[in-house]
Amino acid sequence: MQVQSPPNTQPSGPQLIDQLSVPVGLPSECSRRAKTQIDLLLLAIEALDLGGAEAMLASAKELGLDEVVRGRVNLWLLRSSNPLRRFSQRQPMSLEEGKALVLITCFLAKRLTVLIRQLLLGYQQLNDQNLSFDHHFRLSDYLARFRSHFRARMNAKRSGVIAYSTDEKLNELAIELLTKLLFCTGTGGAQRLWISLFDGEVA
Amino acid sequence: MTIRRQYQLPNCSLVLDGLSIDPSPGSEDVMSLLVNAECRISGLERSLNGGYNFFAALVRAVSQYAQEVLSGFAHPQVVEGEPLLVHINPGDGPYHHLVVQPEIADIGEGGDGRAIDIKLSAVQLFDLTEAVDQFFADHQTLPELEPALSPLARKFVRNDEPLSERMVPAVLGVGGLVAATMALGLLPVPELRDPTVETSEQIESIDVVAEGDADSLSSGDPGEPDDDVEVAAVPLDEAASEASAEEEADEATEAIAEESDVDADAEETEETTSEAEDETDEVAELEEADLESDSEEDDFEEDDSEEADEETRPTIAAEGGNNSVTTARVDEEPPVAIRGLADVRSLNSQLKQKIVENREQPRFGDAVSYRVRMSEDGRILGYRPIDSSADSAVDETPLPELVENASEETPAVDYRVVFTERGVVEVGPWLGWSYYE
Repeated sequence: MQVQSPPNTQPSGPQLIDQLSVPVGLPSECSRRAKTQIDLLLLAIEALDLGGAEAMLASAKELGLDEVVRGRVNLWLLRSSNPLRRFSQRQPMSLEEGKALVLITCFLAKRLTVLIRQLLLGYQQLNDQNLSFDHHFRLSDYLARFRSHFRARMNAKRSGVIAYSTDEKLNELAIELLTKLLFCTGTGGAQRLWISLFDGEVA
Repeated sequence: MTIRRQYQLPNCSLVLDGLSIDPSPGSEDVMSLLVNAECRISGLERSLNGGYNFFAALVRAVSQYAQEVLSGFAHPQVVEGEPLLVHINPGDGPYHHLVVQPEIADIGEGGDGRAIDIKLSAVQLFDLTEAVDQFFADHQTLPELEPALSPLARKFVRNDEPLSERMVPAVLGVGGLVAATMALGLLPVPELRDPTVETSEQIESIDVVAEGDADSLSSGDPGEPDDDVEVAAVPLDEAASEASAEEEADEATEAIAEESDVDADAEETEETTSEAEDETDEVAELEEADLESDSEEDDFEEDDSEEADEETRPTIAAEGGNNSVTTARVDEEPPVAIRGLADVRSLNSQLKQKIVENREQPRFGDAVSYRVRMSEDGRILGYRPIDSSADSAVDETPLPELVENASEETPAVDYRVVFTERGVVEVGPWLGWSYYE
């Protein structure tokens, strides 16, 4: 029998999650670095988009991931597994949960593609002309918001956070995250981000 | 049959010309032989051209370098033992360098036998990556070339984490164990404890630490418990953590509220500052005189405190601005102390709520701490600033207005209240949680 059309299966959340492959040798849960990275990328999204936190919940629903990311408290707990957080929850993050947050990050980054490209282009021009960030309103706005989010939520006593005690260091981090978000917007963005979280974690 | 495939992005395009050599049905559209690959990058006068070796090396280098951008760890861009024909290196600021050896690609007439070095901005590099990823996603073109994404093996990773960061969990783990052992050893003889020294580290950060999980390790040093040990310990104690799940969620909500509170307040601060300042100014004037007499009295009290007798015990009176009396007296245990963990815990959250609800606005600036006495019926009986900065900041806190009278024999318990630099109120028992457990 020749099959003319694909079988009628309902596209659902778990299928989307399964698109992210789990290479052999991956640890059974997300590492400290993975938890930190995901939370920081989401923090950068919040600095780009005032409604970022709400958008995360909405996109979890839209992507059919609301069984994995179950509402506001659950999302907060997941993000708080970032060990740099002031109220770090020190709880494990499963691979499923990590995948869901990666998908949400990439989904939101895609929506912000235009802005992300504008800001990086602006950064490049300022860099070329040796100008300070103040010359680009939208960029300095993003940086200021990122710095304030970071300082409000991260535990200033941790050495991982002390490294970002100056505005300059935090700006560098914000630009680095912006670049990473740009790479999340691509065709292979989610898979690339997901795999990158485990660099150095496999034998 | 000749086939052309194009992958176009704003700053970069890949144009592949090739042939299909498999005429079987379903495969006639598959480009299986590459004749020429052209890579155009915006701002570059001429395009890069090369054959299969160039293209295969290019997609591999680009794909691996994209992982490097995302994780920060350098990925090998060639298979071990093969020559480095195409390579991307990080450059200054927003730039990266695409370096191509002249033997596998040419850039038109400009070739002078040296490696071609193309400076790419972040956005250009991304567009190149995206063109390559679109090529990977197109299974009709050179299907044998795959992104081959895999996490970098441990041996390739130079640990960038500073040694101190890696050592802290281990040191705290061992230190926590020692502290816990010592605390256990001390429990039967509580009179040996020196509260001023020992409890300074035992403040719980506004209850967010899940109490069900607060095993002996973390109670030994709740300030910065070891993450690794904690993570390992939780699954063992699943029943307990499940029981506390609800509690945890409540606390989480509270903390979220706190967080958004801080955010919102930070935005509103500008508007509200002027009003609040007017009011606090008035209070400040009223109390200035009292504060001056405070320090002298403090000295006097300290000398006296060791032989504290009935007379110096707090009668806890705070009548209109007479704070010096109250503040000087809360420096020893209440005459009738509450000992039950449940009561201490419940009063802890009542006290925190009372302070948060009664403050004009979160107080920012250097952290200040107070010893605050709470009666069993939830009244604040008195408070004492821990140091001079807390003393001078007292009217930025709601404490002076919250003090109520009570008889000397009212059962009470002392808490440490910290107004942190970010405007968060932290409350914990003066003697530490472990004292009551």
